[in-house]
Amino acid sequence: MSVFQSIYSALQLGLPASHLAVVVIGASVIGCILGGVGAIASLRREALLGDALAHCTLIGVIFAFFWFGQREFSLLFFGACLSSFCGLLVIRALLTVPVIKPDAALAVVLAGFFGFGLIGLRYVQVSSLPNKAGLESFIFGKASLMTGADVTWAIIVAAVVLVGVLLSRRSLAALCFDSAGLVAFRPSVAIARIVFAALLLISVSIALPATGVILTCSLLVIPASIAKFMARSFFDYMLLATTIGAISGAIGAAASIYIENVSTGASVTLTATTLLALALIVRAYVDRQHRRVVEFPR
Amino acid sequence: MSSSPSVPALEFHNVSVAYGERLVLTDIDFTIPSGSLVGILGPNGAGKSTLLKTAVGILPACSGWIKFFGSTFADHRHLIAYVPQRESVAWDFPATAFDVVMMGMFHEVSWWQGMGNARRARVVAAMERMGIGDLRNRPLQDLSGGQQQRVFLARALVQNPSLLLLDEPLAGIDVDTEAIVMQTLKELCANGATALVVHHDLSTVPQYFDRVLMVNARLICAGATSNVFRPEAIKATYGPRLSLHEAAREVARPIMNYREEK
Repeated sequence: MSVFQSIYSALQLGLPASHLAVVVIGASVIGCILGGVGAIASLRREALLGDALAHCTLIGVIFAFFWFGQREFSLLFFGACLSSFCGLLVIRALLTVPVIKPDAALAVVLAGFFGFGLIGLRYVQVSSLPNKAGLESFIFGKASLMTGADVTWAIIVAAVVLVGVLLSRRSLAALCFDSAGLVAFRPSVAIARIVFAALLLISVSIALPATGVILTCSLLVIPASIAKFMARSFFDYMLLATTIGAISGAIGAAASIYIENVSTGASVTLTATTLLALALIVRAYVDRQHRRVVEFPR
Repeated sequence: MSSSPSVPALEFHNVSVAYGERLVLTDIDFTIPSGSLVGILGPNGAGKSTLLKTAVGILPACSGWIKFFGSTFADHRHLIAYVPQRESVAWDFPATAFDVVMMGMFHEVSWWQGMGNARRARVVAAMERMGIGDLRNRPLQDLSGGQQQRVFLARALVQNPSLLLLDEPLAGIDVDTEAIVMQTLKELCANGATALVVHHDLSTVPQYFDRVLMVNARLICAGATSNVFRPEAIKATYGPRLSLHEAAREVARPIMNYREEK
């Protein structure tokens, strides 16, 4: 389908073409961020930490809405960052208790903060506050509600994440491979640990309009999984994961606009899963071809 | 490369280490002169790996102090190379063997700089020294156990370390790799570097190491292999219940590990 056709269809749906562009660009930028940060999280086997932190953002959004009294995403974003930071602190605190294992700590924080957020959301919905419409879209994501300002904000965050990843590329690689082995490099790796936590917080918070609270995890995990069996170097891996994240975001957001009443989180997740399935099929095919040519195993 | 021979490379003074409430190492006290090739021996769970991890600051000591070349760890960080157990690392990391060896020099450059051709050449040289020059562009996950160990040692070599701490570098690897690892360590120590190696195969101790540390929660003995590595000390380290069968198994372990991997 050509760009012109898609714009034409968007016009028929009553959406201005520029708005479709805004939504698609916004979702792909968010997909980029999540793909890249998720790639690091997957290597550290901490993708579920990202999921837990994403669930923590809802209550922060609600509090920020109360505080500022408006549905401006750049303001709600800070609330989201703050509450997922609190979630991270609680997880760290729970891990110091000997009987609580890491999976339990994650589950407690994920469920607890999300439950709290749902109660807050219900409280807002029955209240008489102005501008409360659309807050519930942050649960599953609704990219069609994204504004130009939201996208600008997403691009700024993407730039910050890009600079952070580029500057600490070597320490991040060391952190993912063996964080303790490089004795001489350990001070930088210690900084990378903090940088990574910050990037994870920011990325799950910026993802709210596109993938929502619940399905953010899909863009953290799936692009990384696809990149994992295609990449030979760390650089390729990061590049592939961000690209696949961007593609999933763009296609998913466009699809959620065409198919009415489908939340963007769901369509983005489905897109990414389809790409994963395709990649698996291609890989199986390539492996078979390879086996035909080379008769002896390596 | 290293400090003068009179300064000991590594000193432990009454070091104790605990996991929670449980003491793993108690009052470990020894001095390693520069240029020694030291084997750390002891049964499973004796605290050999813990000793190395404490030395490089991965685990905190709950008492005592450790000195490197007569001063603190932080002062000599860049001279120390630690090779962790092979199993402790995720080998599905998306990188080539070359990339991993390059990690050994990450601390030399600032975050805005590139690695440069001189460092690339050092990586190639270290890999060729370990006999894996042709594996440069091979993805990490395709490497065998022995090749992984050689990559790790090459990563330690590019640092030009004065002190190497290796945790079971000979566990589950092939005979060729064992030979090349020990040959390299001997050359390094002949040039003034010091190496501490956690080791399991008792039969090769006299041939490989000029000093031994025998550990079982406490330091049983430390000193030159010819003086210290005797049946009484082995019995004291591995326990009186070390039967002939168990001793044989302890000796055969590296071979069995290797078979299991195949």
